[in-house]
Amino acid sequence: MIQTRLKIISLLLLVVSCKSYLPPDVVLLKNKTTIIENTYFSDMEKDYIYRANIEAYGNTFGGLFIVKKTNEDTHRVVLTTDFGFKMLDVEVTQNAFEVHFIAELLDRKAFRKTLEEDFKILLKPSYKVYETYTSERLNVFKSKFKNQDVFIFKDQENNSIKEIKLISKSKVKTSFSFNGVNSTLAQKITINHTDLDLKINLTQRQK
Amino acid sequence: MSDSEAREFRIQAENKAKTIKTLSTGFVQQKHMTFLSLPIETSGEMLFQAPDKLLWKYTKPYVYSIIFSDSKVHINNEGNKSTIDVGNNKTFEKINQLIVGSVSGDLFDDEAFTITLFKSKDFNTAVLVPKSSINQYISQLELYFSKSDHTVSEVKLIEPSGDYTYIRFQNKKTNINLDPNTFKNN
Repeated sequence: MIQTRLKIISLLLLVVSCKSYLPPDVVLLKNKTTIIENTYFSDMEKDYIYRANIEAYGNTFGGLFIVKKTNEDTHRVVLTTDFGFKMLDVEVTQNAFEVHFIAELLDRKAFRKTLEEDFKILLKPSYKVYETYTSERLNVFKSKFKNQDVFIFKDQENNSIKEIKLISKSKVKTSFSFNGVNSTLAQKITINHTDLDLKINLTQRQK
Repeated sequence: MSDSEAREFRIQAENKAKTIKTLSTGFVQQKHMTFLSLPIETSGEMLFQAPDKLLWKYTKPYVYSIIFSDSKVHINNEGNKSTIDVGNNKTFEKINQLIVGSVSGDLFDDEAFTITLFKSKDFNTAVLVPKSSINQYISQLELYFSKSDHTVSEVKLIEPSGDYTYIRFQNKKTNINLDPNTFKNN
């Protein structure tokens, strides 16, 4: 009898602790959208060049963040110092992360893993939608990245992606914010980690 | 280049480097990467004071400055200032020496580089292949010396991948008076 009660309590605790994340002030809609296209970094003709400012563990690193879509599912991503020295050169697909070069200063297993996840989410061409919500100004779509929940926030006015949030253990793990959106280009992108002291600020480089 | 021409070029460049106490020049820098449609271009001005102080100031397309001074790199990113002490990182210290030496022309160090000299119509060229750990960043450095004044006019920094940075100096002035605060990260 006591054992059965304990089992029920454990089960209840499990259910409570597994309560999944949901953005505040959203209402569930009947799901009509099946796919969300991520049009940032989607033009194969374009060189995407951003000024990067990376804040990590009290240090700040400045440089250039360069992205080129090289074929339907592949992006080349390069990070250089402002002087032009290459610090990172990778090829990203949703199934692979090929490191062409990484400076020994950055070559830490955990850092590589973090960048791999960040770049794959940032560059993922489309997201399959499982649930659709709405709020006052945004449409919110629940999707998946590997086995983790992802929420995509789209501006109702111009239909651009304003934010992508990666959820882990019912909390926001990483948020990707897109600002100054002009057609398919975001002038400012911020990647903010809540589980790590790491923030990546990208500002489109003016010619 | 014959042995005697190479000796003469090296003596001229080394002697010229010794006479340079200060230097100011404009520059245009292009980053070439095979997968990009166009090179990434930046420009600005550069100030040097012998033996090892260098201000690299970008003005286009954004304002950003890097000061190399006393084993430290001071950065001013549109008002956000930071300092990196590279004295405890041998690779980055060598890269700093390489950048400063590329400007002054004082890089003829046979222990640090395998050096080959060439001549063309406009330039005498020194091709330097690093022997140290900086070769993970730079596999070859090409210094183009003006035949008229024996100072460095163009620099090409080639990475192991073949991508490269090309810097062209313009309106160079030597031994001018510099503001004593030039190399302070004010």
